[in-house]
Amino acid sequence: MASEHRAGMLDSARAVLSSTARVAGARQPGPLRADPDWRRLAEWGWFGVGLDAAAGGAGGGASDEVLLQVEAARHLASGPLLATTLAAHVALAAGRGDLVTGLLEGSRVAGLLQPEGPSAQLGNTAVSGHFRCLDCQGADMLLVLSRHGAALLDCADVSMPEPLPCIDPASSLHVVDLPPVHPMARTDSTDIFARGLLLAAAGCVGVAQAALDDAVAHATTRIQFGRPIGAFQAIKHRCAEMAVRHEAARALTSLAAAEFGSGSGPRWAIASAKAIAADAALRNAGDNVQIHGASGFSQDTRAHLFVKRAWLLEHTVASTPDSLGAVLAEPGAPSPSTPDEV
Amino acid sequence: MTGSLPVSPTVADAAFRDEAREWLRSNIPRTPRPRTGVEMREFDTAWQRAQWQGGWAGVSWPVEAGGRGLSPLQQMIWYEEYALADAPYVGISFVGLNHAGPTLIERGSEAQRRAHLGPILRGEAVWCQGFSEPDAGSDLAGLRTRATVDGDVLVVNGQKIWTSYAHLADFQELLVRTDTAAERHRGLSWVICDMRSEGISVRPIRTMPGVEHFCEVFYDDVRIPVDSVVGGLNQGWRVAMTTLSIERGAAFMADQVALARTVERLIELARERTGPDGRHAAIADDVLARGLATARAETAALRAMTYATVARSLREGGPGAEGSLPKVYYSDVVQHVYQLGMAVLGSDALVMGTETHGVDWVYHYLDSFARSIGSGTREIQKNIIGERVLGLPRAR
Repeated sequence: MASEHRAGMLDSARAVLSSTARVAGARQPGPLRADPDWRRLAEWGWFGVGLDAAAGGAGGGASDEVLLQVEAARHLASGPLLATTLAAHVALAAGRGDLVTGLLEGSRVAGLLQPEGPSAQLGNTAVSGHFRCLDCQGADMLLVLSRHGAALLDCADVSMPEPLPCIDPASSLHVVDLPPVHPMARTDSTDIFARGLLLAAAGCVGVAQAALDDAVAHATTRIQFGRPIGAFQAIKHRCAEMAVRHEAARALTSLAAAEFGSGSGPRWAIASAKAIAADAALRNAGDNVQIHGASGFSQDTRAHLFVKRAWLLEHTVASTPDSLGAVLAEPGAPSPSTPDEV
Repeated sequence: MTGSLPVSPTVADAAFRDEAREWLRSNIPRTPRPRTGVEMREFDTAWQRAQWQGGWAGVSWPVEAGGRGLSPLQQMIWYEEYALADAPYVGISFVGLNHAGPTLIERGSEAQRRAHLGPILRGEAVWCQGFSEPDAGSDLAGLRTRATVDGDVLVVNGQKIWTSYAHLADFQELLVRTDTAAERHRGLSWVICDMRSEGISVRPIRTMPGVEHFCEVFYDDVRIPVDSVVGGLNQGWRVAMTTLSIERGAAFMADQVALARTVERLIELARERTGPDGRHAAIADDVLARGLATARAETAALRAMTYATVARSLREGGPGAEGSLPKVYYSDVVQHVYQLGMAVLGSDALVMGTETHGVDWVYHYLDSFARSIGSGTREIQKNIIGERVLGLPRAR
């Protein structure tokens, strides 16, 4: 049964995440392909879990990729897991089997380049203009992702400026003005962007879940007025609201991934998932800080890290205003179809 | 994330969808549903009768009970097609189909099932609920309406309130205290009460949108045969919990699908109506557009939560306390949607009783306040989530 296979995969994914320093959020300088933790993730099969077996993957589709991104975010894992996963799909679509292999085995690592403003161009022969770079430090290729297509650039062709201080301490941030750069691989498929939205939504689900779990744990053990603070409705109801938000984000993201996998369901459901999940992540992360009180405001707990990761994810692939614009741009809900997986 | 469950769409499911769509298209009532009074009862029961004649009565009920016996997935398909066809709200048939009937199926005696299930399915008997009292709302177990055993009858004295359609109903699922000495959850009984019994008086109460929907019901030495007790004397709390868990389950699907339909209508309305600047369409207004997009996204989430609830029910045999998650979300979204409807209408929001795109937005806005009060307030639902889903300590 698919659900048993998935439960096994998730246990194994949690184990591999726990065994890497990547989980602590610390970033080592130097190329990621030389990082033993990155290699361990690659050897486990992290970057090919959604690819078809014919392409060297595990055939789990977007649904399994979503599950992994949820786990990664719950563990506050660092590094360009999302971009590298997507880059393998671009390489495959562009017929670059060599790059697929490199990405899957961990010898190639992709950071994420997002267009900023009208100057950013993703042309047939060249990529140019203003871009924001997420988690590009230590990468050796760059995934350029837009609504209309995607491309891979070789880091050797790009000169990166000094990094900007990133709100998320486990991530890196650059802004770059590219002269025309010839891509190594390119696709007009809009599927990469849609998949990116799903994976960013999944990260948000993971943050929303971890913030909820931490809040409930604190509310159960923290004693004030002679009882656990979770016995008070002011705290209990806040936790319940966090659970509702998490469930909305989780259910929608996994359904949208299943429908993306089977080619059913409207595209606006995917943008919806990103918007709903980002809202859940930001608000749950904030509520978790509040429930922790002063310790939540300190860096002695990890509550602050979820707020910061939530903002990174809010601006990964598409922001909420962008996603909501896409939700409304499409025509109305089509005739319902039956999803093959819930 | 353990919510995944394979639910393979079969050829049979697609054929089922076609069958449901076909029947609904040719059988839904052509006249608008009256909102109140005997006319509403006539309309709702006639529609129920039509569904029975077409073989569509009691879609969630087992076949042995006279229902259609659909799988949860097929029920979902049915409700999706039901909403797409703009079939009327279940209305006055709600309590019979979703409370009393299923409770009798699970807990009733053979004689009780034989006497009551058929009339519910055929639209011949209308049921109402009799749980809440003036001093027992959220604290249901504090109810005080007494029933004393006198030979083979119960003699009931007391008062119920907020009973939907009591003035139009034939029977009531009546929760009474039969043992005043017992711990408060243990002294209750769930009784079938004939609303034409002597000693019952009913006073309709006007609701916020201005219709007579719910009532006060007074019991003055009302005599009910002891064999009308369902699930055993003093077992009423357990029976009532059965009733309420059913309400939080499948019955909820139809509302969720209808809301998605309403949001699409609101988006159409916002494309056609002039917005707050007096020149462009309402949808060109940034605040309204963001609200509409959020509402559409939220209905997608609600649909996904409903599927997840169905998957959980299939796995665990019932929606469980997790059924409160979509319930809270639904009440937030439905209120948000009708607030937006008021905003899209502009100053026409001050005019009662006009329909645009088949929806009386003002009426439904006012009515939407009930969604976070009825069948367990939002606050009670959050207690359930906090204590039974998240495992937080009880306050008491």
